[in-house]
Amino acid sequence: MTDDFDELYRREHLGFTRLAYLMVGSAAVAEELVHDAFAALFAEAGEVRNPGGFVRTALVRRCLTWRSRRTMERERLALVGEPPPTGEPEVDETWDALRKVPADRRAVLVLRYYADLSHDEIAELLDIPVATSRSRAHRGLADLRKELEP
Amino acid sequence: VTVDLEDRLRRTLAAKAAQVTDVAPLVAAPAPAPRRRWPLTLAAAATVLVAALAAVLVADRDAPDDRPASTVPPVPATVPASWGGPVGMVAGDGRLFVHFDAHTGAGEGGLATFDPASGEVTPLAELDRGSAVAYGDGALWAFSPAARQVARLDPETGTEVRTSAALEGLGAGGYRMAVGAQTIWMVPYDWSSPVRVLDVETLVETVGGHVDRPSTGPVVVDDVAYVGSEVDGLQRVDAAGEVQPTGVPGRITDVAAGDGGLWVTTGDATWLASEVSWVPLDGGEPVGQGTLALEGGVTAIGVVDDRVCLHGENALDNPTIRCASQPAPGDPVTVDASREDGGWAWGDLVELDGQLWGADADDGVIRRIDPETARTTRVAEVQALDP
Repeated sequence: MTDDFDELYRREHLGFTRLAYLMVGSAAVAEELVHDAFAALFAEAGEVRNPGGFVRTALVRRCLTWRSRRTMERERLALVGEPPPTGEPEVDETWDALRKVPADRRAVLVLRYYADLSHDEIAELLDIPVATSRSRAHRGLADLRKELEP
Repeated sequence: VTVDLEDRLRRTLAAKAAQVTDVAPLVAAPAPAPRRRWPLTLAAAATVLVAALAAVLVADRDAPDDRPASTVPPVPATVPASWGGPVGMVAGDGRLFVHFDAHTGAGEGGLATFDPASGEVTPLAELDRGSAVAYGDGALWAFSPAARQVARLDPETGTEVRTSAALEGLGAGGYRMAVGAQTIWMVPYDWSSPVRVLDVETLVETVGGHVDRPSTGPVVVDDVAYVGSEVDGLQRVDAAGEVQPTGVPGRITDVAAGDGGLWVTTGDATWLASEVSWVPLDGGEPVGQGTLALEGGVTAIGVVDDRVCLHGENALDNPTIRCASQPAPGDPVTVDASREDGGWAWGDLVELDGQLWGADADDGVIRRIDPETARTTRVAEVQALDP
């Protein structure tokens, strides 16, 4: 189990960290959430049939709720070592706007437009109805458009 | 237009994700280790309790909640915009204080007094961002990570009465703090720094032991502080900084002092399930505990006399207040009041005059919780949130 775990960690750590970063907006917090998700897998001691899926589900749930769980205090860690602006005005403006989108809508946007998941897949991952996934994407784009308006 | 926005979003997400390259993990991959297991006696006790609690769980889950939480319009209040949102409350000397912190951006933090009768929030003192605040031994205390100092504050004026020397070798992630029994306990947020203790009179510091992955606390009972760990259960830290296990196992998420014991919550890493336990203390030692399994997670805890209230979420991810009474030694905990509520508490719930109080940095609302009914009331709404 340990070898499989180590291999999964090596293979998926960066990808999961990128996904979490886009959802929470902080590389440091993303690292911590990814670690916690892997720790949850390790605690299952080989009893999980789909380890990658387990970690992704645990990670997405933690990304959605981390602000509500007193880990806000750890957001102070986000002040250290964050990726700087890209220097591309369109990207940086969109990123700033995305950070203002509510977490549940932002999660759907990231899963849809970065992870390229279908609404069926997003609904299953977030344990929400497909219609909710669609409405959150729609409203998230509306939020984004509103933030980007001059 | 929508297609353009979607394309723009895709390009942005790809570009920002690409910036996360070889960021070193905050900690290494979890080291291979045997799965932690409870002692056999506790496991056997837990097995017996599961059957006894099943009926309680079903009753709790099915209990109708036909009375909505109070929607009394809150009193608007203002603080300097640079203070960010209310991240916690502190009770002492019959008064309530609200701790503000601009956890992101360029802001700072601050401390305000809160009048529970009128809902008025009055700025008292500016604080550095990431400060810790506590009330104990008749005074307000603040730790500044920027100055690396602990200061005693005048609760009337907010001015510094006395300040420690700069502390050396501090962790980067800030500290939680509690004060009592002539001692200041400081527990790091990061996973590699030691506990610090200071004498309240001399403010001389002692570097103590390590708590592995501290998660909550310190909570002071008599002359000892209790600290929760994500991996090592509940730990006890004495006034010299020595750390010892209590034998209370689990991934500790919250701890609070009750009448003659501790309320302790544990939860799994995905926050899908949790437990609340009443742990009586005898001479500082746990002497058995009663436990209740809960669906969802617990994020904040508060105690009024023999009542405990847990702020968290239910199985449907809805923010929920669940309250219980202190059971007889060895008896299980029974939640007898549970209500959904729209807010989150960011710090612990604090007690004043038989009511619990919590602050929510997301919406700036300060709420009152009735520990008998779990009903919440929005009392004040702070206008200036994150700058």
